[in-house]
Amino acid sequence: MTITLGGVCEPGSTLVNKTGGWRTFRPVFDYDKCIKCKLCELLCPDMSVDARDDGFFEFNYDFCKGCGICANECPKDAIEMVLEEK
Amino acid sequence: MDTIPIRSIREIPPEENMLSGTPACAGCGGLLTLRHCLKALGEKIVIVNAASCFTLLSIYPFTPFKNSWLYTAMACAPAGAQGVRDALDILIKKGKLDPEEDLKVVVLTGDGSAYDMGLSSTSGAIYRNLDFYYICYDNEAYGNTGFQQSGATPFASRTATSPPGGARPTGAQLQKKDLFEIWNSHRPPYLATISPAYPVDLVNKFRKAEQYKGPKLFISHSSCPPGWGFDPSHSVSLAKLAVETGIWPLKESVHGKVEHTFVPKKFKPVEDYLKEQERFAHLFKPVRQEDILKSIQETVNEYWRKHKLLS
Repeated sequence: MTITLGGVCEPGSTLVNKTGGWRTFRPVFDYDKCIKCKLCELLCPDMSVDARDDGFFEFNYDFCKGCGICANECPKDAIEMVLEEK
Repeated sequence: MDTIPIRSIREIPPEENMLSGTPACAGCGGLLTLRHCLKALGEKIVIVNAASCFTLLSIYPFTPFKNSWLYTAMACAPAGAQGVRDALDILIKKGKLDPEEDLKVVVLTGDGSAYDMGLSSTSGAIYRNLDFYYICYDNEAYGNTGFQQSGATPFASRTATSPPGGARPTGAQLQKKDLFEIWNSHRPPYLATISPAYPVDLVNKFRKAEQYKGPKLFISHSSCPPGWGFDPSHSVSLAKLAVETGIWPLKESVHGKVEHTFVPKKFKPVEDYLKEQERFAHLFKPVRQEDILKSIQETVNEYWRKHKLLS
C-alpha cells in the first residue's frame, strides 16, 4: 500500500477489504422457492446481494458478513443459513 | 410542487452510492439506513461526518463512498457543513464551479452528537436556515465507544454507564429526549423520522425534502445488534416492531406542521419489542418489573393519544 499524494482515498476503496471472512453462517439461495421479490437485495446492509440477468439474485460471498437479515426477512424462506466450513 | 410518491420497493433507485467492505458490524441497522439514504440522495453530495460509528467507514486509505467526505469533531458537524456550503456558493458565484456541479451538503452523525454534544451547533445551523441535510442514525447510546448512556437512551435501557442492579434495578433512569420536537420548535422546512424497515417511506421523504431550500432533517431508528443485544438477523424485524408497537413513530413535519406517515392499524404491545433485546432483559428476569413495563407502555400510549391517533 503506497500513500497517495495529499492522502487521497479513491472512491469505493474498501472493496479490497473482504469482510466475508467474518462470517459464521453463509446464506444459500433455494431458487425453486425464490419469487424475485428483491427484499434480500434491498435489506442487505453490506450491498452483497447482486442482481442477476435472469431476475434472480446471488450472494457476493467476498463481502457478506453473514448477519442473516436476508434469511430472516425472506417471505418464502428461500434462503438458508448454512454453517461455514473450511 | 408536490412530488409523486413511489409505492413499491421496485421504484427505489438501484444505484449504490456506498460500496461493500465497510468495517461496520454485521447487521448494522444504521448502515442499512445510510445505504437507503444515499440511494435517495444520489451521487452529488458531500458528507460531513461527526465522530461516531460511521467515522470508521472512512479510515485512510479506505472509503466505501463515491462522494467526498469531511470529518469533524462531535459537536461541530453542522458548522463544518456551513463552511462547505459557503465554499460551494462562493465558487459558483465566482464562476469557478458550474451550478450543475453543485453538491448537496449532508451532515451524518450518531445520536450522541445529535442529541447531546452537537445540539447547539445544529440549532444554530437551523436558525441560519443553512441549506443542508442532516441524517442522525439513532442507536440510542454511544455505540462506538462501548454503549454508554446518551440523551437518546430510552428509559430502563441497560447501558455501560447505567447497569441495572443494586439500588437501581431499572437501568437508565432518564427518559429519552424528544429531539424531533426540539428541532421542530425551530420550524425547519422539512423534518422527518425514518426507519430502515420502511425504505419506501424513507425514499419518499427524501424526495419530498428535496424541493425545500434550508435545513432538511432526518432521524433514523438504527438497530444495533451488539449494543442492544439481539441476533443480527433480527435487525430489520426489530426496526419494524419498533414502528408497529408505536415506540418509533414515522412522521414528518413541514414548516412545523407534524403529520404521521404511517400509523399501525392496531398497536402491538411494547413488551414485544422490549423482550427481544438483552438491554431490557432485566425487566423480565429474574423478577418481572411490572410497574416499569407499564410505565413504558403508558408513555407510548400517551404520545399517540396526544396526537389523537389512539383513543
